[in-house]
Amino acid sequence: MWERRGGHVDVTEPGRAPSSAGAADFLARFDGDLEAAIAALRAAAGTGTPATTAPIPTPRRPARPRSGRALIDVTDLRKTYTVGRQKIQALDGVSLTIDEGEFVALVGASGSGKSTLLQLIGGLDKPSAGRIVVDGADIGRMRDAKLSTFRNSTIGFVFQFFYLQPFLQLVTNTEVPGMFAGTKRGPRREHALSLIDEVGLTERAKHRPREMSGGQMQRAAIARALLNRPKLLLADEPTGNLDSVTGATIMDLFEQIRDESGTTVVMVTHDEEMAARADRTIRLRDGLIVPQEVPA
Amino acid sequence: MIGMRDALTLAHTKIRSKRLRLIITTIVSGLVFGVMAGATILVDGMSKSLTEFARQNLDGRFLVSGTPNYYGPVDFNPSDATLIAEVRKYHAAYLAERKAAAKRYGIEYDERSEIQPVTEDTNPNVPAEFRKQINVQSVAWQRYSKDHPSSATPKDAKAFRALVDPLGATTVYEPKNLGHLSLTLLPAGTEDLTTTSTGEPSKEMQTAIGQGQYTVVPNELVAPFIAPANNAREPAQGVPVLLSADDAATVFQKTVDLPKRPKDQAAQVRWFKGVRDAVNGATFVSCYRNDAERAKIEEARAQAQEIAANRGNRDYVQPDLLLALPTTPCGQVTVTKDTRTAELKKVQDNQKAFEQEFNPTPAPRAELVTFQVVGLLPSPGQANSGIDAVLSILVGTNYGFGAVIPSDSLASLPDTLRHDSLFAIPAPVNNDPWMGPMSQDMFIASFPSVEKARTAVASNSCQMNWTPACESMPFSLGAYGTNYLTVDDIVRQLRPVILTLLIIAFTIATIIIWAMMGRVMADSRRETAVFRAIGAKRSDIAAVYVTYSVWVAVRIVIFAAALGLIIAGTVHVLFADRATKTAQLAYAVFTPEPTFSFLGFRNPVLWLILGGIVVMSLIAITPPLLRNIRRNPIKDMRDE
Repeated sequence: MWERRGGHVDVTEPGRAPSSAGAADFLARFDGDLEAAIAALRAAAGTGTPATTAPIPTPRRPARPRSGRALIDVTDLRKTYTVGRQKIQALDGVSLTIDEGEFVALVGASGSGKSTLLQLIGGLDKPSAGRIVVDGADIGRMRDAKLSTFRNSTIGFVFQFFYLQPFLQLVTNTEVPGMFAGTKRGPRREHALSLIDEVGLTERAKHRPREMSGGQMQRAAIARALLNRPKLLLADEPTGNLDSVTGATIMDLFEQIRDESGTTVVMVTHDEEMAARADRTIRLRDGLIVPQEVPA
Repeated sequence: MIGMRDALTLAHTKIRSKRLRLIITTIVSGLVFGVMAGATILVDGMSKSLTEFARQNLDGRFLVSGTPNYYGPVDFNPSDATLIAEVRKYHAAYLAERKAAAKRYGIEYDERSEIQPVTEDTNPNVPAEFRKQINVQSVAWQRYSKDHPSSATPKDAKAFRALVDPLGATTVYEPKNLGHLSLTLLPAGTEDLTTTSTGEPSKEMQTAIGQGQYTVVPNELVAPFIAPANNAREPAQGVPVLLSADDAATVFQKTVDLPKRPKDQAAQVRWFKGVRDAVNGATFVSCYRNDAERAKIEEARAQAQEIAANRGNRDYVQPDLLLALPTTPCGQVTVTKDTRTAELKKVQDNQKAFEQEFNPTPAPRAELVTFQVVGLLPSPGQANSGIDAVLSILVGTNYGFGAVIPSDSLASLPDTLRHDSLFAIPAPVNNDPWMGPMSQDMFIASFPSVEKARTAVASNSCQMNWTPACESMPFSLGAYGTNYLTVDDIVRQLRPVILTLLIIAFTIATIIIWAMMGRVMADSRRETAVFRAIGAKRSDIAAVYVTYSVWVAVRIVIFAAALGLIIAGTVHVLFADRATKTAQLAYAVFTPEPTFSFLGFRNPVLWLILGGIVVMSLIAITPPLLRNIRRNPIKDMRDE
């Protein structure tokens, strides 16, 4: 079960009581009919038309039960960086499990270790200690080439700044992971076009990134991340460079991906509202997971 | 692993970024290689053209001359004390013989007039052990070396054949230089010995035939230059000879109306043909006098001058043996008065017999030789500067020393015209005391292909044939007839310079590309990190950059090749026609083909330069690439 209040999400654990009465009222009245809920909001505002700058309260979704099949299993993970003579403990014994098809948000202040955790789960860095198992593979012990292949086939990355190739068309940008996988050009192009269609950019398939908006570029980056049909989608501040409306559409997309293909989504964000869209929020502070409050 | 086409796609994105940097790198690196490529195309074009002219010029034969090298193993140390003592003994024996003979002839003899067998250097800087040296001019040494001949292999025709036969030579010729014959041109067939010119000799006397420079050469070697026989040559009227067009025009200026050699190359071709037709069958005469006769001429001339100087002097007494200069062309000195006493005559006769006993000399002799022009040798134009001078050097010819007498044509003459006494005698052999008998003539070998000729010359040529560099080479070989290997010679001599330039160029270009690639990779660290994140292996990243590097190299290659083509093409357009005319004159090949081209693309050096750019580019990318792929992608992402 997941709950929302006023566009700000503090607690996402199922069963936790909302702290805002207004939101509680809204949620109490929300019966799952989105259009009716929007109409009610418009009526409450007295305008009939919602202000475009105001966050649209996201309707309550039915609680999504965890599958029980762990895709990510992190045990006592530690990561120490050395900067000059100073050692920085980025992660200090993190343990967590994320199930297949789960949409998890990693939140926390800057330097809390959330991005480090995401990168370690993505096999971009090696842990100083601990164990990371992704899809049954202990990626901390993999050699570089095997790990690269694993990343290519199992994990999709979405970055805050999109990182598209400026001189390549959108369709070619989408194909890049397939290039490294060595997939055949024809089927790869076909799949890339279908993904572009899914993210709503069919008209932009032949455009270059500089001809697109930030939201379009991020959707393109998501299409690229999905090319090799990964089981895990890792997103590092995917809405950090977007306005809230566009950010919300990206969240919609993540949900859609999770719902349609069962892809596990792990997202790092500063934005509590975006985090609220996830099935579960894992909060980090000083390299540790903050224990979840259990409602009375 | 990423496919080549995909690597190309990703590499192409780098080509499109930082374009100015790439353009500057391409131009700076390509400039040097472009000039080198241009020079290579030019050199190959010239070489190919010269080969084509040479092929037509001598009917597909490529001639190589060989001259003995004067460096070799030395049997004797001229400062060796034991040897000096031995030679002194020979000298003592020689003096004893001379004294005995002088006594027998009843003449006075002063042994101090003899050449001493040992010379002594008083220079204190010369080490003591080398101050005394055997005098190779002395009779004692000549006698000693005759008794103790050198063990060195003679550098003769047999030795030359042994050298060139394994190299693929088909025929060996032995041209004979007649420079030693002292043949003097008699312009207009007349001779005036009464006056001696102190000024510059006439133009006729400055020609090869004016200076008595003749070489007897087998007909085979000069057949293309022998003009068809005409009425003037039937029957033959003298020793057949081939002259240069300039010499022919000069010698026959007064007898045949010939225009001066024009400056324009095309006009020179017409002029050459005109001269060739005009002088075909023309004759001229030269006079041969041996040393004894020339000595008598000088004596008679001196007497005549002395008498003229003392005209009117009552106290002057004329010589008692009075000689008169010849009154007919190439005549002999005659005695006009002999008032010597019987006793004086006997003493002088005995003195002469004494000298003849130790150093026999032939009797005075003079012989008038009629020559008949049977053709013209290739005659490249004389140019002191500019492109024509360069072209003249490139296409120069060398058919022996001076005028050429075709030996087979000479042999077919009637006895009365042949002058066997002059032309049939063997050339003197330089019997070197240290290195054995050595021919003073050159030998000529014919090769069926320019490649074989080139190989033979390349393996038997040294710049200074008296230096140790030539020790293992009995003969120095070089192109004969035409300069078809001139370009090869130039390249061979310039090879160290070219190699150094090439190394410098490659080093500079490598550094430039290294810096450029390093910069590109540094700028692309984030992109590399993203690629790594989405599954690129290190080898994939390397493949993309290697492809990029090859792409950059290909651009440099294209730029260099285009620049080289422009350079060579410009030279070709500007000078090919003039070069063709110059080559036609030099090779006496006047057919429409071949023409001279400055464009040649077969030289492996050209492809070495262009291929080297790719290799250089790969070398340049290696260090920054190794650094780049070893980097931690997270660090690069975090730095961003």
